[in-house]
Amino acid sequence: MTRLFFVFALFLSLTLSAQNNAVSSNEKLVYTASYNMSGVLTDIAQVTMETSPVKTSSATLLKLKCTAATYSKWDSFFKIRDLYESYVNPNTLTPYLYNRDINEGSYSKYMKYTFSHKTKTVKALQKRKGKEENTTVTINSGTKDIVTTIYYMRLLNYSNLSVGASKTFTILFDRKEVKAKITYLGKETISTAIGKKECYKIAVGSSDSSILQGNNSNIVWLTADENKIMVYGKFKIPVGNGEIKIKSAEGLKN
Amino acid sequence: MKKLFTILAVIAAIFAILLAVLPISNLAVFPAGAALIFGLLAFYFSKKQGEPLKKIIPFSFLLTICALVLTTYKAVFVTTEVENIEDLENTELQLEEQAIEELEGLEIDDLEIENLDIDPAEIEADIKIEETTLGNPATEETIPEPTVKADEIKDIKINEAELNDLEFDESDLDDFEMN
Repeated sequence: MTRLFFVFALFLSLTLSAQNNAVSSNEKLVYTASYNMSGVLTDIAQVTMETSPVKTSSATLLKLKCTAATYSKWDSFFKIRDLYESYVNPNTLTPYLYNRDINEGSYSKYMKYTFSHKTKTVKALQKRKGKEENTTVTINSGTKDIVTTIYYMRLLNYSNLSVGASKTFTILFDRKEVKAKITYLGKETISTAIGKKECYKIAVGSSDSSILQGNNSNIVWLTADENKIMVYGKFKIPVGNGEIKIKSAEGLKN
Repeated sequence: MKKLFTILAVIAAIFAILLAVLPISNLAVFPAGAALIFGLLAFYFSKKQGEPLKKIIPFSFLLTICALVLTTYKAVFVTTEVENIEDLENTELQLEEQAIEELEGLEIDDLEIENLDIDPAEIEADIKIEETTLGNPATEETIPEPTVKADEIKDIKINEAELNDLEFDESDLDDFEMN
């Protein structure tokens, strides 16, 4: 499931600054994640991506939340309850705080990043098997956490990109910066649970071959409208390949 | 040959049943298909050799049909849904409380508050002005007491020599009004 989230994250992010005209403060996207077993796709988990406003005494931030939970039929065999959340600037999606709480079978881990963009550092707190580890990681400007990156991809203007154009970006994952590249493959119309949509087809690659494999094997489809929501994704990981399909979308901005 | 296909049919049928009862029931179609083929081959060779049909071959067919019925039923009628997410919801609430506390202490200096997309109704709900506060404002301005008293003004003496030294600009005189 961690890899699945990483696949999400690799869709995205540029170092240039973009304004938020795609992500609303009260939207909810629900996906079904399927795994390909011997050519047969099996629904494994439900992935939910939600946004909500969060008020502090000085500002109103945007909370970006991703949860993954296995369907009940799998819970007896391998139960997954993952939570990823990020508190960001609602206009630029600059992250300030990131939480990751994953429970996958007998494996559990908690991670917190506190971003300091002035000093270009991130204070990372990891809790695992009752042990706490505090470290400070130096980051480049434009480095984002995985959840913010997923949403940040929606701020990019794909209509100006020519087919084959690619962009690189940096994601902070497991206290390490990972370089990733997206390549624009053109437009394609596909049928989804929320209707027939014209989409931007984008290939995603990673510098770390242990995360994503193959050349243009990981592809996502973003709606070619103002919302730019992901409606379909195909990915290839070391343990096989799978799909992610949209189930429902609520509270969209446009 | 008949024996080999009979054994393969039984093994495939058992696999089909096992997969059918597991969450990956849609994978049961593969061993079920194989079991049917092996069973038919075993049946064919049995007929060819003129031997009486062993009960094990119909039994493998029965298992296969049961597996296929169960798989079809699960595919059509069983809905996939997420349950038991109370812990996840509790964790989320707990993390949000902690996050808000932490965010209060952070420098969020590049936030353009004027561009925030906030519902006006939300703002109205948050701002509550009590009537008592308006009737008795706590921030009433205090006017300082005059330091020069009227009696003192009468006592001011002007020296004629000082008046002679005064310089007037012509433009100042234009604005002067005599009562």
